[in-house]
Amino acid sequence: MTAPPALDAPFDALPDLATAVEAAVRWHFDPSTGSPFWLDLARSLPFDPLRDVTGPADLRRFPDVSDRLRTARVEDLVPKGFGDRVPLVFESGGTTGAPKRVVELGFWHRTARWIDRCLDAHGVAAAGNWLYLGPTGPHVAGYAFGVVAALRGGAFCTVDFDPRWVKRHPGQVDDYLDHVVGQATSLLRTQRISVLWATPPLLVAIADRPAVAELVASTVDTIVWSGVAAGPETLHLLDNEVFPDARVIGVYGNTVMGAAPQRPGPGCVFDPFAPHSVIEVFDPDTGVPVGYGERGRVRVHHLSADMFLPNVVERDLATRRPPAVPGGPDGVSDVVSARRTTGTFEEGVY
Amino acid sequence: MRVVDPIGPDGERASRDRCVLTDVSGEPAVDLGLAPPLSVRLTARRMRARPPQCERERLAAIARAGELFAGAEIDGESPADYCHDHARLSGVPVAAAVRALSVFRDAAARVEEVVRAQRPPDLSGCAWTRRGDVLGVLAPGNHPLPHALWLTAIALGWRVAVRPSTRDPLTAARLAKSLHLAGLDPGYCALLPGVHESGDALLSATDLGLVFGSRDTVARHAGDPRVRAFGPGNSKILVTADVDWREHLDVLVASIGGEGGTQCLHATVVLVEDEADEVAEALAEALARHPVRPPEHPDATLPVASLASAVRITDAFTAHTGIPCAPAEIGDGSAALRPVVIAPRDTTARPVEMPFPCAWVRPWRPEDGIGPLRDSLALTLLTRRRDVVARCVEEPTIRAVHWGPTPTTTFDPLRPHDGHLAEFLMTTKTASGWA
Repeated sequence: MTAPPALDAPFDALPDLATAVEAAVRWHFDPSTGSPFWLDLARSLPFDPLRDVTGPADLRRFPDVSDRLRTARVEDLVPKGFGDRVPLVFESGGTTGAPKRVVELGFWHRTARWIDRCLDAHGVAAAGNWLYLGPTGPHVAGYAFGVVAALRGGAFCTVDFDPRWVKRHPGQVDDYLDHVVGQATSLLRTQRISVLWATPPLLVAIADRPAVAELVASTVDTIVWSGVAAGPETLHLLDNEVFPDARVIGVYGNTVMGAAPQRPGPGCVFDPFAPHSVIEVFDPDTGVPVGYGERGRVRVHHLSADMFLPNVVERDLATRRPPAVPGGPDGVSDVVSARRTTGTFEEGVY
Repeated sequence: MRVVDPIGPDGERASRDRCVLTDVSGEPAVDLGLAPPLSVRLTARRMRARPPQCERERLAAIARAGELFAGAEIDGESPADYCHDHARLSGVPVAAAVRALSVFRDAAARVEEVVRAQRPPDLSGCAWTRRGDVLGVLAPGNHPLPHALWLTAIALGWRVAVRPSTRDPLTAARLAKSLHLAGLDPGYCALLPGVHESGDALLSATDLGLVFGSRDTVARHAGDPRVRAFGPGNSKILVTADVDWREHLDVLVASIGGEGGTQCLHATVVLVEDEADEVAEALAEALARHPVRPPEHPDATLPVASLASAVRITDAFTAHTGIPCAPAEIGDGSAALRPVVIAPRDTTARPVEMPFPCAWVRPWRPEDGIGPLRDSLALTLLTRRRDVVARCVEEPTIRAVHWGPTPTTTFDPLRPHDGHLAEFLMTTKTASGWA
């Protein structure tokens, strides 16, 4: 059996959210196609998803089960509808405790095809080799962007970057960045690199090494950044002062939600891959969605044939943006991790 | 709302990263532009790339900057505006900023003397040189005066990048603008407000760093030879039986509670040979006369904070000592922190430095020796006992000794503050001639 058509539709004929919700609920809660993980959980729900979920608003009736992804067996996550297909396994960052595990049975490949299309929309030339300075595993980014590069006809050069090591040894971060930038430099010197993928802290480390920054500026056409948030001033400096001739494109997202590449045009607004990834921005005090241009906490829903992860509240704060085109999904901008908003200054208690 | 933005070698530049600082009553007061780590690193590079400015021009610019800081309207900010807004934002009584105007003018005018006072007396066959070029300063917000330290660094030829505290970005901004206006080469002074990561980036992008902060901050930088960390001062006063403390009560009161009692130089412990209870009582009575006023009021002597912050502070004090303590509400959402004097019988809790006038009075016996006086940024000795004075001067953990009725908070730019800054910033090397 394969994924239901509504969750595997061609990009020119993507269903609306209501259709996707209906298809996802039918797939994940039908005893013949759903995963042991959800079929087991469904028994404890105070409602019957197959009967009671009638539209997108009902996604919020589900509990946030993402914490269970820290311990669930990967076999139990595979929908029975996929038969005996063996999944790839990816993990979240692990910054808020044990990592969350997800299975890949085609959604991230599909997302890569979507990102490929978004890069076309940004005017990024096809072909051209990539230099990827990020985790090659267990995080999904290395896999997803490797597929993107291959789809575009570019070789995928990598330097592995382990964000968990950096979080564990914050005092060694400069050394670690040096280690990664050093390896990147030899690739930049010996290969023709068109697209550079890096996290904002790595781009800052490159910018702080004028010889390397010059090497990047003179060879790379496009910089794709992802992984952690970058503030507007950092993006402005990267785009206008450090790499003025390169296109700088951000991709927001995470293991649970999926990806939200930057929308073409001015400013840095991220559009989720609708209808599979839904981003809502809500007022944390009332739970009510905020208006366009207002800030709030991020809640995401993931609707694909691989996984069903509704109602996941993220640590991120963001500004809600109106759709780029009528009927399109809401975008978000100015994403920051909620944790960071408290870590401001050293109080002068000396 | 007043706007403060990062200042670099290219002047003031509006940042797209911003945060709003509220004053003590919770009203938005400063729209602060932040320098993210990338901006910090690029600014440090630009500072290094600027050509040097000769010492004579630098010193002249610093002296002029002191005049501007004290007397000029700078970007629409008069000295009175600065003092008022500093008080409202930081909660430190306005007298502190008023004093800063004259102290900075004086320190800037005498900066050449300050450098001379720190220079080794005999440099024949030697050169006295900087240990680097760019200095990062993570500045405090408890009082304006520590900013005078980095003026000396500029005089010594350092290029100084300052990350101000959110409690007080105004002093550093006014000082940086004064210096640029006065003709200091703009590569010698930058203002880089920023989040925690920006502070780390500043210390990593500069050659040496001055860090002001709590005990934890000092501990975090312990063992880092590139960082000089200034923490709580644990300043003290000793009163022995051969001196009549009643004659010097004003010195004790000023040491504990002058200008809000928030400096590291303010006395935390008063050691008394005789009549410790009487001293505690007299101090409590004198300090209780300090009126509850908004911080910008000319009579204000108590530190003020938002009610929530004030309650956090007094709760922390009560949790540590078991002594009930509550802030005095002013009525506009802010509250004053009233002085507390802890008598010997009140608690066995270890003395800690609080951000308000707070002193532990403890008995002292001659057989205790100078042990209880150790680890003091400033120590005032009200005693006739020369042996005690001599041992305190020799003791390395006592950083300043005032013998006689001098408040611990006395500041003289020519005298060392926790050592001369040049002991950290400069080095001496052999530089022998050909012949």
